[in-house]
Amino acid sequence: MAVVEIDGVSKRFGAVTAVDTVRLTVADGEFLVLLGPSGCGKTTLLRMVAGFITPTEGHIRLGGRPITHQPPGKRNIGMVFQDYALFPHMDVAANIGFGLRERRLPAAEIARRVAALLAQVRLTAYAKSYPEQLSGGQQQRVALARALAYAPQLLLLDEPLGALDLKLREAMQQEIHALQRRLGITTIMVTHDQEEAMNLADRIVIMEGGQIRQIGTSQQLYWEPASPFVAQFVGKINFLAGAVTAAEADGCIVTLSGGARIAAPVQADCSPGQAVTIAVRPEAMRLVAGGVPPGLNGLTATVQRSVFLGNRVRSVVTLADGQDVLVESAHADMPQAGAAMDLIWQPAQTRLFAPSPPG
Amino acid sequence: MNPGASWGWLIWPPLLVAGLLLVLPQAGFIAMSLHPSLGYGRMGDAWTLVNYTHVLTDPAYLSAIGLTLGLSAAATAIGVVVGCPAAYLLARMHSRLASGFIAMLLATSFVTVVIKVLGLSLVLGREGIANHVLLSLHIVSAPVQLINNDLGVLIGLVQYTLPVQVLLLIGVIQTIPRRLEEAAEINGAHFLSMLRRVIWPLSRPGVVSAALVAFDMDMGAFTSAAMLGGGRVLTLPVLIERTIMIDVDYATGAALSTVLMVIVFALNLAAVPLLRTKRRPA
Repeated sequence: MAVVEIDGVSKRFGAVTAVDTVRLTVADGEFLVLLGPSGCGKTTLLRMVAGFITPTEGHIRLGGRPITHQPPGKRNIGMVFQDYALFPHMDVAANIGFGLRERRLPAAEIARRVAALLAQVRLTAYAKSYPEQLSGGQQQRVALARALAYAPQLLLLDEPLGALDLKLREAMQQEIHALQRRLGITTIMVTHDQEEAMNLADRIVIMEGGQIRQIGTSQQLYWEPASPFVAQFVGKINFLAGAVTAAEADGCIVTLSGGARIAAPVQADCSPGQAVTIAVRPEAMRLVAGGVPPGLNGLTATVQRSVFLGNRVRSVVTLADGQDVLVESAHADMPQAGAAMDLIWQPAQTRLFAPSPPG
Repeated sequence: MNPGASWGWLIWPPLLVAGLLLVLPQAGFIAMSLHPSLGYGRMGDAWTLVNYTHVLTDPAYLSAIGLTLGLSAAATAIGVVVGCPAAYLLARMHSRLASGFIAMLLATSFVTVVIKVLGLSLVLGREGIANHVLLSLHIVSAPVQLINNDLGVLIGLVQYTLPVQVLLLIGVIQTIPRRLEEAAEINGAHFLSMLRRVIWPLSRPGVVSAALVAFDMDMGAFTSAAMLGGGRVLTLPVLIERTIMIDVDYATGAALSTVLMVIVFALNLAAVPLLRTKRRPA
């Protein structure tokens, strides 16, 4: 069942279209992440769901009821803000109980619920502390508890971990994920961090220029990106320019600008003469010496530099036509700089796009 | 090395100048107030408290003190009530309109108070615009006395300090992040509840200090009180000027000045606890 329905929503600020005809549904209990570069419209979209911005066009429904023109406080939505926005003059318990007091609950009921929430986020000992006395992670948990206090129908997270350092961020991701699963609360999060998105999301929505570019699980986005933009936004990828020279039943032959012939699975724009961009993930490629095994794609390449990253080795190689390609390998052997090697990969790992990838 | 330490001495020259300019005349006044007046501007050599007993027992002086406190408190209160909503709107407006209003506020503070008061006396006079409007709207049937009385001075004091209060209060509101309002809003607080539970507790110290600034200005306001009171409203500054310039009674004038200074100083000290943010436990 769809809890949130975003139906053709647009927002224009003067001549600028921040969000452009977005259609999106969020299922009950789903963790949906809006991912995109800054200025892609993801925050504007979230703030329209929250009610801080009124859409220029379109409708938003929550649990079937239209909320497009409802004030934020009437929507029964919990929200964690980027900088937490805790009330500095209230202690932790008062912050968490803020929404319950607004709902005129009896004091005893508020105290009981606040105590339960404090236990949920492991801050019972800090009930009487003030936000300024807490660490970033603790403030984050207070913000989370405050947003969940009145059992909202929907939880919104606006870059909630942006202010934390890397280690803490990963720990908080685990915590948010566990809490979200335990409560089964439908959640929409905004982030520009693809790893965070992949870590938390059931589905990821990739946005660019106010529009949705692709919606899918992290695996779908990674292995079947709909566009070069999505491909390079989720993980790293290499782009090579070429043209289709032959289309066969089981594959598509592309001749690169350097003259090499590459096999790829049949994809949308696979008709002879069609200019295409080939995309291959760094970890799908391998560097070998002594020839290309049959059935694989191969290019000759000169190793520029290899870097040991612990769990993998990253190499930059240069093709005959001067283009650089990134290769990542889980093997510990380090290709030597200056060595001439063969760059090989499975044809099935090759994706074809219409030309001119960004950047 | 701490840069603050090496440049710290720079604070001393201005502090010294300000201190000399403040302390020396005040010390002179206080000293003057402790000698008897011999009439015609001559002062006796003996030390005495007679000027203070005079000032603090004479009903005329006491009523002047009361009048000054009352007018200043009223003008300050009106300033807070009118200024807070205006400052809130100006601080939260994100338009050129708001910048325009703030620029206008600043510009008016460069106009000398004499000019402003003259303009006000034209507006408030028997034939002025204010009476014209009141008459034509049939709110009153005869021209109302709006100047040369307490009301005129009150209006003058409000005009004198309101822009300052609004400017100070804009700064206070601007330090409160908008996100806090949004957080209150999405938690279910309607606007008034948000103001009461978030904006007011966080802005209260700033409102108190803005009110203190206005109150202190009102207590010392001479031009507005003298010109709009028409010589009939004797606030302390007006009374001090008369005592010294017309009566040539330096001793009593100095005692009045000292009393004024002590009252203002004491009230400011008394307000210090209000300058702390009140914390609200659950």
